[in-house]
Amino acid sequence: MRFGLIGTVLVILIIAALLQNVALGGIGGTVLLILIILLLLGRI
Amino acid sequence: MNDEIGYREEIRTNLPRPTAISWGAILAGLFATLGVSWLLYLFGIAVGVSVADASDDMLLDDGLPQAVALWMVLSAAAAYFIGAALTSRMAAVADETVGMLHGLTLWGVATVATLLFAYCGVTTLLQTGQGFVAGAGTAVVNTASAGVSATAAGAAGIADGAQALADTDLADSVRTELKDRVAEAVASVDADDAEVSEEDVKQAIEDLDEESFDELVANLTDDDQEAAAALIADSTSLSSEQAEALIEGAYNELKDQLGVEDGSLVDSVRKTLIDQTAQAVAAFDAKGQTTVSASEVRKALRSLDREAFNAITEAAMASDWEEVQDLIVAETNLSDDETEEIVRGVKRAYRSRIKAATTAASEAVETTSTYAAQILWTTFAASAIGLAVSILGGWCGVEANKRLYYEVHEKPVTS
Repeated sequence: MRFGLIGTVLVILIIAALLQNVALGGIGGTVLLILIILLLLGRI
Repeated sequence: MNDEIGYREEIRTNLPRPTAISWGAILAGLFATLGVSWLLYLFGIAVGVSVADASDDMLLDDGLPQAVALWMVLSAAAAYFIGAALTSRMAAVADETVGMLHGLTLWGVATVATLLFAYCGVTTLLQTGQGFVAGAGTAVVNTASAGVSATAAGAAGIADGAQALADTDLADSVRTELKDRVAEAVASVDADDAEVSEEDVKQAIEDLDEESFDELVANLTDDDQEAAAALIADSTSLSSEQAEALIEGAYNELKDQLGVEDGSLVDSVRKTLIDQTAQAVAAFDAKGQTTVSASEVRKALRSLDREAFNAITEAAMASDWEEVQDLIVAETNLSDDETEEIVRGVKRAYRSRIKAATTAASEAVETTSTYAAQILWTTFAASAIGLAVSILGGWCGVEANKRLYYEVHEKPVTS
C-alpha cells in the first residue's frame, strides 16, 4: 500500500513538473500530505 | 539505649516515573514543520494564494482575499500536525498527555523559530506574514507621502500642465497637418521623377521618432522653418525643396487654425494659456464678489513672462501667499486690492485641491490599515489553530505508538 501511494505521488508530481500544470501539482501535493499523515499515524 | 527515633519520608506511588522530554524528537518535528510549511508556501505562490501575491498586487481595497486567509490557516494546520505527530512518535511515548505536551512544546519551539527567522528577514515560513505587515505599514507611509507630493506637484503643474497640454494639441495638429500637406506636396512633384509615393511619405512622417518629432515641433514653434525643413529632409525620403514646401504650407495652415494674424506660434500658444488661466482665476470667486474681471486678469497675466509665471506658481505651491501677492504686484500693474482678490481666489482653488488629495490619502491609509489588521488577525488565527492542531497531532502520534508498539492491559483496582 505504501509503495503504491509513494509511486503514485512520484508519477503525478513528475508529470506536473514536466507539464508545468499547477492543478496536477496540487493533487500530487495533497496525496503526498495524506501519505505523510498516514505514515505518521502508522496506518501504512 | 537510644530512644530517639529518626524519621524519614518515604513516598509511595503507582505512577510511573515521568517520561523525560525528548528534545531530539522535538527537533525532528521542528524541521518537519518548517519544511512542510515551506513546501505549502511554494505551492501557494504557484497558485496565487500566498500573502506575497496578495500584498504585491497592492489592490488593497478588496482587503485580504479569503483564499489567501484560508490557505494561511490550512498550511499552518497541516505543517503543525505533521510536526507534532512526528514528534510524539519519535519520542516513543505511550502516555497520551505526555504526547500532547510534546506537541505543545513543538508548537512553542516552531513559533519561536519562525519569529527568529522573521527577525533575520525570512518571513515566509509558516506564512506568519510579519514581513507583509511591516510592508503594509511602509505602504501606508508611502501612500500618504505620495498623496502629499502629488498635490504639491499638481499645484505646481497648473502652469506647466496647461503649457504641456497646449504642446500636445499643437503636436497633434502639426502631425495631422504635415500628413495632409503631403498629398499636395507630392502632387507638385514631376510624375517622371517620382521616386517616392504618397504612401511612402506619409509613412515616413508617421515613422519619425519621438525625438525628431519633438525637435520638429520645437523648430516650428520657434519659427525656425529652415531647421524644420532640414529635419524633414534628413529624416524622410523627401528632397529639400519638397520638405520646404511642406513646412511652409503646414506652418501657414497652423497659423490660420490658431487665429494668429501676426506674430509667432509661441505667442499664440501663450495667448491660449493666458485665456484659460484668466477664466479659471476669475471663476474662482464664484459667489459673485468678483471685483476683478477676467479681462483685467488676462491683461495682467499677459504682461508676465514665463519666468515670472513659474515663480508665482512655485510660491503658490509652497503656500507662500504673501510672496505670490508681492510677485504679482511687482510684475504686473494691478493694484494691491486687485492682487489680493486674485490671490484669495487662487488660494480657495488650491485649498480644495489639497483637501481632495488629503481625503484620498486618508482613505488610502485606512485601506492599508484595514489590510494590515486583516493579515494580523489571520496570522493569529493560523497560529492558534496551529496550537490546537499540534496538541491533536501529539495525541495522534501517541495513539499510533500504543497501537503499534505497546500492549495495553486493563488491571482491576481493589479498593
